[in-house]
Amino acid sequence: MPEQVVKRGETIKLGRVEGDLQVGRKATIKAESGGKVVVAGDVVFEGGATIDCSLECNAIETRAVPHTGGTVVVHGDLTVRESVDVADSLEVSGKATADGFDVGGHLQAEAVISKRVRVGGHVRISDIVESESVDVAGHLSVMGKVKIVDLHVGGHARVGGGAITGSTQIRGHFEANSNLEYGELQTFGHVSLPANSRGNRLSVLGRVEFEGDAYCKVMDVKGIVEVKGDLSTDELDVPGKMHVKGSLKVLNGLNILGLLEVGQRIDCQKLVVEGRLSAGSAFVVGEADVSGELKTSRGVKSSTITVRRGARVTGPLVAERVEVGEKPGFGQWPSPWSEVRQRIGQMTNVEDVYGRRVTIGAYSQAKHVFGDEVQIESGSVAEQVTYTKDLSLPSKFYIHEPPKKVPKLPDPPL
Amino acid sequence: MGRRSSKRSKMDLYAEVLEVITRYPEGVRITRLSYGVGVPVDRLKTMVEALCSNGLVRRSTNEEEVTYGATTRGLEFLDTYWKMKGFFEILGEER
Repeated sequence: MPEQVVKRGETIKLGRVEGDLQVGRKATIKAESGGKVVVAGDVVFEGGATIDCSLECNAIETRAVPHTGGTVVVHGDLTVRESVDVADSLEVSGKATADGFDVGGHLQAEAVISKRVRVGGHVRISDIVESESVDVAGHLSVMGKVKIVDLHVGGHARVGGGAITGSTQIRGHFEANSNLEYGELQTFGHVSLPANSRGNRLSVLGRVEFEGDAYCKVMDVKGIVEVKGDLSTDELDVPGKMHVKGSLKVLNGLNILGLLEVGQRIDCQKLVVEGRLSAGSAFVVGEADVSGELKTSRGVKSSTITVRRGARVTGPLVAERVEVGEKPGFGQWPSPWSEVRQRIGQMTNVEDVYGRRVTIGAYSQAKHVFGDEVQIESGSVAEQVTYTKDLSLPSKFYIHEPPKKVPKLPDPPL
Repeated sequence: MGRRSSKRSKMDLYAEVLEVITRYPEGVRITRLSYGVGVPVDRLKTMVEALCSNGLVRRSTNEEEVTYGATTRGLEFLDTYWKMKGFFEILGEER
């Protein structure tokens, strides 16, 4: 039996209630003094009601029998020691604090601080959210910073920045208004992140926009990526389209199956171009393997560069070892781009090549070739070959100017 | 955040019903479900029945209380729905 009962539609002033409080539908509770009602026990709502002040209690419950819906409105702060269980919606004009929130309808508050938040409808918070777990079936909007471990949202989500350190699963679109630190972020929609956002893993089906510089350890984006600054990552596969306005730094491998455009410089450990790459310049520590289309304005520098048969390279290539016109590697299918070029009769095509050992394979075309040891294979075409040690020529080749043996090669552009 | 400005299609509504149901692994009552989805109980019952008959939602009765939970097929439907929605948006932008 509750200590105090507020009847349906009744307006009452309360101070402190020692036991439980039962509140009828459409009842209004005001504070006797101090702008706050304190209930030592639980508050049980029989439907929607208004608390015209702050409320402090042990727990909140609404009875979810049919036709007892309605919003519980608190015009102040809500402080609950245990959990809040509201069948319909909850609106708190101040800060809502509880061990757990379970709201069937919508949740609206200035701030939410809780261990667990579960909402069947939408969530709208005008300031901060701090919680270990937030699970929302509808949309989520948090204008302030968040400090969340796991976030799962059935619709779209927008946060004001902060940190979501664990798993973030958003079915729709996700947007952060200031820099966000994230663990694993997965969404089927679009993602928009501001400058200086950092994360461990980004898995997106749709479009990703970074408004400035960004770091993400592992990126798996099936759709389109737009970076308006520099991008740093540990491992990067590009199956769709990616545009980086600044520079791209990849700690390990960069694998391009789709289209990648980088405004400035690329730094990576290993480069595989099966699709199309366009960049200012590319510096590869290990091996560069091109079977698609590679276009740079200042060139590519690597320890070894392999240009597969049917590939097309625009811009200088600089490496210890350059092989042009290689057959596709074991298990490596020719890219759609190379297949198209083979069909129309254009074979491997490169521009200037600088290397210690350079091989221009059969039916390949190069502009200027500079190497200590140069090997030209049957049917290949070059404008000029300059070498210091050895030149190997087949019976059938086309070099526009006579090959030149020089004591020292000119400095490469990179 | 208010209700959506554009009218939800039948498929959107089915997906939203499933989204709410998946939040309750212990099962959810129709009343609470209606508050989450924003659809009256009588209309929602028809939709939930359709989902049940197609094996996307499971009905459980316990002490005269009927609750609903998502089946594996229901979860698969949700994943496919959002993936398709994502693809349609990409294709729509590229047109």
